[in-house]
Amino acid sequence: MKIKFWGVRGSLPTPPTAEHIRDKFIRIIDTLPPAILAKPDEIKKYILGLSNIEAGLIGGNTPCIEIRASDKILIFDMGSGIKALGNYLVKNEPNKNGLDLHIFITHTHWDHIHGFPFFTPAFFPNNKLTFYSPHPNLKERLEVQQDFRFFPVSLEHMPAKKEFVLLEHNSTINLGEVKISNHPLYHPGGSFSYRIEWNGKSIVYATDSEYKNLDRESTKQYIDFFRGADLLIFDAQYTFEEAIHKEDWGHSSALVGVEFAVEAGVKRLALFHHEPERNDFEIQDILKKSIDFKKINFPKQKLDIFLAMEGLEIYL
Amino acid sequence: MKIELSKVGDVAIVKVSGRIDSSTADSFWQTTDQILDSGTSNFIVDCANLEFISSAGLRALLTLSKNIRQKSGIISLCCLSQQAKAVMDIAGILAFFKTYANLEEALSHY
Repeated sequence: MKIKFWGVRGSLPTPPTAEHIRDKFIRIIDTLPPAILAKPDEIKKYILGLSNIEAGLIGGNTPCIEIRASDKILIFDMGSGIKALGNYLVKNEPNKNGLDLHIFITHTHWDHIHGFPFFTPAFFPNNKLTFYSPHPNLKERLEVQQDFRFFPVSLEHMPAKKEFVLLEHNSTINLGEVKISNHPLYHPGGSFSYRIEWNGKSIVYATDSEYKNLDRESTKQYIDFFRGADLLIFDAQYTFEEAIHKEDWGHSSALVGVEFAVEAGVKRLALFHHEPERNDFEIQDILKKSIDFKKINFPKQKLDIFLAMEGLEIYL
Repeated sequence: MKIELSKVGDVAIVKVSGRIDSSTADSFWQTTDQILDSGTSNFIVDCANLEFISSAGLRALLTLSKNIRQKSGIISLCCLSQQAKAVMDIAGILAFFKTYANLEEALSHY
C-alpha cells in the first residue's frame, strides 16, 4: 500500500508569507558550516540535504490524501491539495482519460471539499468518480458549492461520470480486495474516520475530531477503531492547552494522538491538519514535544511519530 | 490512584498517589470538585507520590484550576517530579500553576 499526502493543512489554504521564506533563508545562512562558505557547489549540496522544514515547506494545501491499494486509486478528502493530485493523474497515469477514482469524504467543511472545482480529472468524460460518504446529500452539497454565484462551472457541467454512494455509519465496504471501514468522529456537523486495509496492512485516517472526554469508556470506541494500524493519520491542529480552551471547535492535539496510538498499538503516527496560524518551525516544535512526551510517559513502547508534509510518500 | 485529603487552615491538601490517567482522572476530578463545592477554594495538590499523569489527568488538573480561579481561590502544586513537570510543560499547562519544592513552602504562600 502506498500513501501520498497532497494537502496537510487545516481550515484554510496557507501559502508561506515572504516573512516565512526570509526567515528560512536567514536560518540556513546561520547554520552554514564556515568551511563551505566560499564554495557555491558545496552550499547547494548542503541545502539539498536539509529537511523540508529547514529548506522547503510543510505545505499549505488543505486535506487531500492519495492511497494506492491493489489496483485501486483512493482519494480521501478534496481540500486544495486535490488540484495538484488531479494534474498529476491527468499527466502521468496510463489511463489518464479513463481513470476510475474512489473519493472518500470525511465531511463537507470547506477545507475538505473546496479543491474539487479545480480537480482536472472531473473535466474528462471518460473518467469515473465515485464519491463515498456517510453524510447524506453529498451531491447536493457539492452542487451548492458550485452554484453559479460561487463558481462558474456547475457540478453537472463537469463531464466525468459521477456516482454517489451513501455509507452506513460504522460500516465496511470492499472495493475488490481493499476493505474500507468508517467510524463517526466528534466534530461540528459530524466527521468520519476511515480505516483502509489491504494485503495485511492498515491505515487509519482520523481527522477533524475532538476528544472532549478522555476517560477510558469514552475513548474505547476510537482505540478499537485505531487498533494495530500500521499508520494513524491524526488531527493535531491544536496544542493540548489550546484543545481544552477551544472546546467544541472540533479539533485535537498531538499529545492525545500519541496516547491513543500507544494504547491502540499503532506503529506510525502522522500529525496532520496543521494549524494555519503556525509557521513550519512552530509545527516542528509540536512534533518535538510529542516525541518528548512519548519518551517520558511511554518509554518502552515503539511508536514512530512524524509530521504529515505535502509530497510525503509512505510505502507500507 | 489514591487520594488522601487533609486541611491546614482554609487550604485543602490533596495528596495524590499513583496514576492519574483515563481510568482515574474522573475520580480525581469528582473528589476535588466536591471539596470546591463544599466551600473550600484554596488547594495544594501534593504530587510527591504521583507516578504518571496522562492527558486525562492534565485536563482534570487544568479544569480544577479554572474552577478554583472562578471562585477566586488559589491552587498550587508541590513536590512535582521532574518527569511530571516536563509533561505539564510540554502540554503547555505548567504556567497555570504555582509550583513549590515541598508542602511547607507551598503552605507558606497562603
